[in-house]
Amino acid sequence: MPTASKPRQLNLDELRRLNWLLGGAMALVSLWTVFFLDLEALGLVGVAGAVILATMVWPTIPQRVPPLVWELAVPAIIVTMAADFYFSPDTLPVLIRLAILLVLYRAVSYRRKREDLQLIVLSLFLVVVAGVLTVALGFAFLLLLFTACALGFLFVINLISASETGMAHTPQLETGWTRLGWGQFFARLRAVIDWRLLVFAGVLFATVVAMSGLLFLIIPRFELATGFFLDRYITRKSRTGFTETVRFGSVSELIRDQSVAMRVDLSDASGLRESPYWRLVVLDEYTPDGFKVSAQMKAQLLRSQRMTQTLRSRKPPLHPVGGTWTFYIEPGVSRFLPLPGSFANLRLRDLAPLQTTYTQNRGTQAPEGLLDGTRLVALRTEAMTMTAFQLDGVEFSGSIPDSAFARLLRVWNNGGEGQTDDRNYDARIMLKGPVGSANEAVLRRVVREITDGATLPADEFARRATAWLQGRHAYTLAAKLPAGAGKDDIVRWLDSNEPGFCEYFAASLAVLARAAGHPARVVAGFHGGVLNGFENYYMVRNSDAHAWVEIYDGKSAWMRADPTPGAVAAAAEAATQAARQEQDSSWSARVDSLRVLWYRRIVNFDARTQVQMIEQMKSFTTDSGTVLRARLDEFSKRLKAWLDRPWDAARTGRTAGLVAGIGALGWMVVRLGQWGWVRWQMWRRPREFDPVRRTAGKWLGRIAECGVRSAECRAVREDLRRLRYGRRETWPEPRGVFKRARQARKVARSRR
Amino acid sequence: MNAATTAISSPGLDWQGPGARSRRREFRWHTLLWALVFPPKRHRISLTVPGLFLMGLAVGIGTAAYNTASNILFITLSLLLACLLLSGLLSWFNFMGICWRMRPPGAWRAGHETLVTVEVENRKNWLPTYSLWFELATQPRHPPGPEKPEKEMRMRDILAAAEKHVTRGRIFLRERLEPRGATSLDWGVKPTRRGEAVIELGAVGSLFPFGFLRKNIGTALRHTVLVWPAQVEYQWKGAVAAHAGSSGQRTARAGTGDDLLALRKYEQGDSHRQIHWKASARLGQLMIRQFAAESHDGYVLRLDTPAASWTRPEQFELLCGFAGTLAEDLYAAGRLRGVSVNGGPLLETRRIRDLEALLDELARLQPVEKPGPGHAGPATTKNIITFAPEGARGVTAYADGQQTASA
Repeated sequence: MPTASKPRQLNLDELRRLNWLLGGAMALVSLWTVFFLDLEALGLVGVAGAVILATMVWPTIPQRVPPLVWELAVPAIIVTMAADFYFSPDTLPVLIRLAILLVLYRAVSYRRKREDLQLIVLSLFLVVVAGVLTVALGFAFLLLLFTACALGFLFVINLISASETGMAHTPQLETGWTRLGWGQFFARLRAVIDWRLLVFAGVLFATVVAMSGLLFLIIPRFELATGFFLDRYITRKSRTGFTETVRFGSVSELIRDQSVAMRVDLSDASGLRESPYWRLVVLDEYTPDGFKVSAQMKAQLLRSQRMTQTLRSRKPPLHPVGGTWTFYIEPGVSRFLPLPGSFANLRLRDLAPLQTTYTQNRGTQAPEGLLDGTRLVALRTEAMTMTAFQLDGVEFSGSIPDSAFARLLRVWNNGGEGQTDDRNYDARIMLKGPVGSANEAVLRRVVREITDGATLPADEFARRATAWLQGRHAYTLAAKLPAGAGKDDIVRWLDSNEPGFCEYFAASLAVLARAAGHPARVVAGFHGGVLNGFENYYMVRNSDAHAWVEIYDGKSAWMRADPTPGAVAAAAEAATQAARQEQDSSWSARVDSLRVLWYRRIVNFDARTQVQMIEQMKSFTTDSGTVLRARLDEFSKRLKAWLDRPWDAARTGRTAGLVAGIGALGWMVVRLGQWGWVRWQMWRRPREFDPVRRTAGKWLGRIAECGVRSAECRAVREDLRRLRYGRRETWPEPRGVFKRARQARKVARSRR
Repeated sequence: MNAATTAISSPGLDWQGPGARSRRREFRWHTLLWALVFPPKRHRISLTVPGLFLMGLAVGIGTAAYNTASNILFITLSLLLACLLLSGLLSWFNFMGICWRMRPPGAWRAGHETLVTVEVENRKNWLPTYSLWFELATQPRHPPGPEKPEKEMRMRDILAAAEKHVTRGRIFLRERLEPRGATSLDWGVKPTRRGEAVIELGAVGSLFPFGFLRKNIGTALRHTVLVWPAQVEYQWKGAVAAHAGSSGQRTARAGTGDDLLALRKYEQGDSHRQIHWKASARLGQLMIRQFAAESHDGYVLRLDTPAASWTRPEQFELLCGFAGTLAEDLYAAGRLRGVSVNGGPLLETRRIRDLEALLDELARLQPVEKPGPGHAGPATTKNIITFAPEGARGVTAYADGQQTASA
């Protein structure tokens, strides 16, 4: 008793409309990823996005464009690209702009299967390049969105291809779908959509994501020594003040920026008892505009450059903090790596050209390098993407050991005799300050006020000078330099009562210390940060940018001195916070923790992490098995003990009652669920859903499985078919039929 | 091609495919996994051009990923591979529960387009099936032997010669097949030669879901069908033979003549004009007049095919077509009494089935060395139509020795 049901599916025009929608959406997602790139193409992206969106909504627009425009479009793109190549210094931005234009062209013109596939490839190019260059968390979301769109798009392409096989291609047929209204289309889409298929599609997509995650974890990793990277083909200007030259005011500009500059993942945060100073760059040379990295030190950095992934300290710290620290530095912060102080090992995520003032490859017994005390490590260029590196054996201390500097200074004070090192770093640069009689007179006067004419040790001088500075100057972010001819900016400020910010205080202390005969240098970096309450890592924001001073004690170490008012109090507060393990548990911290998860699990995933993960999984499985076995043993012992207890009538009755109660409860829950399901279906599909027909269908399947062809079986099957397909007026009594079906199946089973 | 969707009628044993009942086995995980690694017999998966491109893209991205150790590229590579796996998984779902069969075809006629119907059922409970195609082929069961080549044949020429008699076609499932639904697809084919032909459903394939993989399931579904001779144009010279028959004689068969043959009871649908009112009044129930059919003396076709006479194959094919066409026309006019082939017994043609049996025999007819003696009997001494070659190409039919038709 067959019945015919009209298939609920989209026709060819509706499929083409869906294809247009998905293709446009995919193109828009790919353009969205370009927004993460700091390219000079945002205007182009905006225009292209607007045009694609407009043609998505009004698909008849391309018909109104004269055919000549379409014919000239590709030559125009080629000419534009050639001109762009000629004028642009970088290759990759040109390619990206070309891809944007091609995506635009393909997305707004009517397409067949081949053009659809071209659109997918072009969009994929944009997505992958943007992802590689940014490594942003948003990329993960966009990649998933793109994958969903692309898979849906491919699916529809395939359906269209199957539907139009053998059909004639005429312009009228191919553009007929554009006359279909959105309202009509969405109404049809709504009528066609089956929630079960939607759920199935969702499950499949989740499976794809899970499968790709699994593949990502198990793909074997090995390192290749000679890699290329896309960011070589693009240059980027530093957004922060942490370059070789820090002008007055450049650090304080950052203080207004609340975005996270770097994240420090601590495997063991217990050793963090004070607010850390993250040293980025050491400024040893004074200029009237501010402090900067001297040419000699830059030359040393350049000479030391080599491709490496690890850097081992020649002398491990004496009092290291436990655990491994992983740093994730946002792009644009600096090419210098933030270091809290001394460390045992530094390990980069990838091989990279690394510059350092450390003396390397000399063995542990070799004398300390001349510039080891600066503790500078830098990349060759500023990274386009997030930079990750790890430190082991970090020492948190206010002083940096450097016995070589005293020797170097002696040599240069003696006229350079005995200076055999070809680097020729003139240590006296750390003693040079503002020149000129007016400047020197002011400095001499101030130093006399601070020391009362006595010769003070470096630490005492730093303490008194800090007190003097804080007594004369308040802290502000809007500093104003007093006027005065013949004097350097910092001397004028020093000699005034104007408030200032950290760079003024640090520079003032440095020039005062140098005027007093103590080698000093300005250090720029970050101070402080806050623990993320969700993923246990340190968030350092751009607003934590800071400058301070390191003064040489004359014998063996550089001591940190922070003259900025409030810095000491802030440090004490931060230390208290750290001691209390105070954490940031705000929503922004929660969102930020996702980014660290992305960095930890995806971006920073390497062969070592892979091995660690496998070992963790192995140990987890073993441990879980052990724990489970122990619990089962425990449970079996308890059960045995429980069973061994004497069984009297009351206990037996209680147990039987309990078992019966649980069984009845379970049965009721199942029945209630079934009842609810049936009611919900009857409410949802009052015309289509019929529990009697549904049950009859089930019984037909069960009877068919038995395969018995007895007379009773045939009769029951006939009645079941009538219930399943027949009109209600012809129905036999359903309960009786189902009862007979049950009996027939029972008989059939017994005969087997 | 025409497709009509209906619900499943009834499961049968002649169904083939993953969803056929006879192929259903107990589910085992290791069987499934092994099937994914080593596809079952006749299952073939190949890459399409977009699939090849995807693989190339995956290789390129993988190379770049290893070269740069960029995890973004690794995750893109993982996504591409996962999509490929998903493609295989969905393709497997698509074929799951699908079964098909060819509707047993009737006899074909050479030169006439006929339909081969493939019935498809989706026995899945809630997943539809999309974008299938069915590869069909037909060829003579005994293809003519290859002509002796003038020069040594290359492999391509040998393959082309083998394909010469094969007609291939592909029919598509354009719309999705609903769960527990069925449909039938038709393939129009025009056989060129009479004889036995083999119609074969070679494979069922699909590009579902993304067009990366082409999955083919080979089938062994074959049917043999008889191809009746083609209908041919001939010239009837009936006036020559008209004197031989006595037209207008009354026969004992019911028909539309003028003579009353009998009376019978009224049946629903009978014309009221045929009611015999007097008899109806006398008998008390409606009676209908039944008239006798006018009849003619029919012809007997005597078909002898000695190889010595029918030396040219084209002329012999024309003979078969001419005899079949003439027999059909005479039967339609009610003037075919019987047929005797190569001295065989006279086969009377009273029903359409007799005519079809004749056409079946004509489909298989081959020249014989020596025809047997005829058994036409005394009643067939007149109006016997025989056939003889006419020139190099033509065939002439003679009624009692006089030319009556030619083709």
